[in-house]
Amino acid sequence: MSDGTLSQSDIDAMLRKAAASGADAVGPRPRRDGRASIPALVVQSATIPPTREAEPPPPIAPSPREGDREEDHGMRAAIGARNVSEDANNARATDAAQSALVREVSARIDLIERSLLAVSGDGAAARRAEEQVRALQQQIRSLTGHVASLRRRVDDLDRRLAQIQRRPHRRNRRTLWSASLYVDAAAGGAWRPRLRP
Amino acid sequence: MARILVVDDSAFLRHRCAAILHEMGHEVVEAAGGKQALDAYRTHAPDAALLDAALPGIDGIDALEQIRAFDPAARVAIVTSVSQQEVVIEAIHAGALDFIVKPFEPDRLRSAVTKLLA
Repeated sequence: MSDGTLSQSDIDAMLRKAAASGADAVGPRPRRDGRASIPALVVQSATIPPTREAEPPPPIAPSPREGDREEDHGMRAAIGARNVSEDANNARATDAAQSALVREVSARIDLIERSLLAVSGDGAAARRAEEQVRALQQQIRSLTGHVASLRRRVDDLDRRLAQIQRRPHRRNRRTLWSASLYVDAAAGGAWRPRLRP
Repeated sequence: MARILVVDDSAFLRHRCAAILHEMGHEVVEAAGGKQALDAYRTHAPDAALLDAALPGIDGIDALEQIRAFDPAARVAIVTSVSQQEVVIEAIHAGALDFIVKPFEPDRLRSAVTKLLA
């Protein structure tokens, strides 16, 4: 499987190989100091989707003053920074919601497990409850993977935002100055050309 | 009849394994964590053990290594939902004789126990 998890038949084949030729036949032993604890691996196991590139910001609104490339660039930078920031905040909110959902599903699994113990004398009820547990376990694996993906996305967006905010370039200073003209205009004020900083 | 140690932090999984093992006519000793597993192994000297890999405290692979350190002939299978290649390879190197992925069919557990006791 692409995320490094193996099926039972893959594992059985590895066990046969190890039994026939020794443990080294299945691969070198992973380094102890590099191994995450097994409980930590549980969190990232199973169905973590492949890392997605951060989505590009939405389309930039057209510049109100055609031909003024510098101010157009300023507007684009200001909107870009705002979009990245909003995207990061949205991803954080979704991350929190997904984490809460994971906790809720875990609690439901615990509840079903306790119920299962109580009804274990009833074969049909036990099978139904067991199917529910399996479905919830699958759901929690998917959610756990999704949360990990969202966290990576938030980190990426944070990096992009920090990059935009601290770029020490002359053009960037002009960019912020240009953007402030639009802020004044958007606030209802008259168009007031300013002295450049 | 053999004595089997079942180690899992899920009461349901312990109960399920115990039910299958009782049907097979075996005695079952249960533990819910890695530390309890080591204590139970020393106390009860089981004929075989089923260890979950993801355990609170000492994880299953570490527990397996510690068990094999004082009983090199220990016959242990890992029973876990963590089936990443790295974990499987480490379990094999640590001395696991079988590796069962949850959720499992009762027959898979029966065959593993039969293999451990052979």
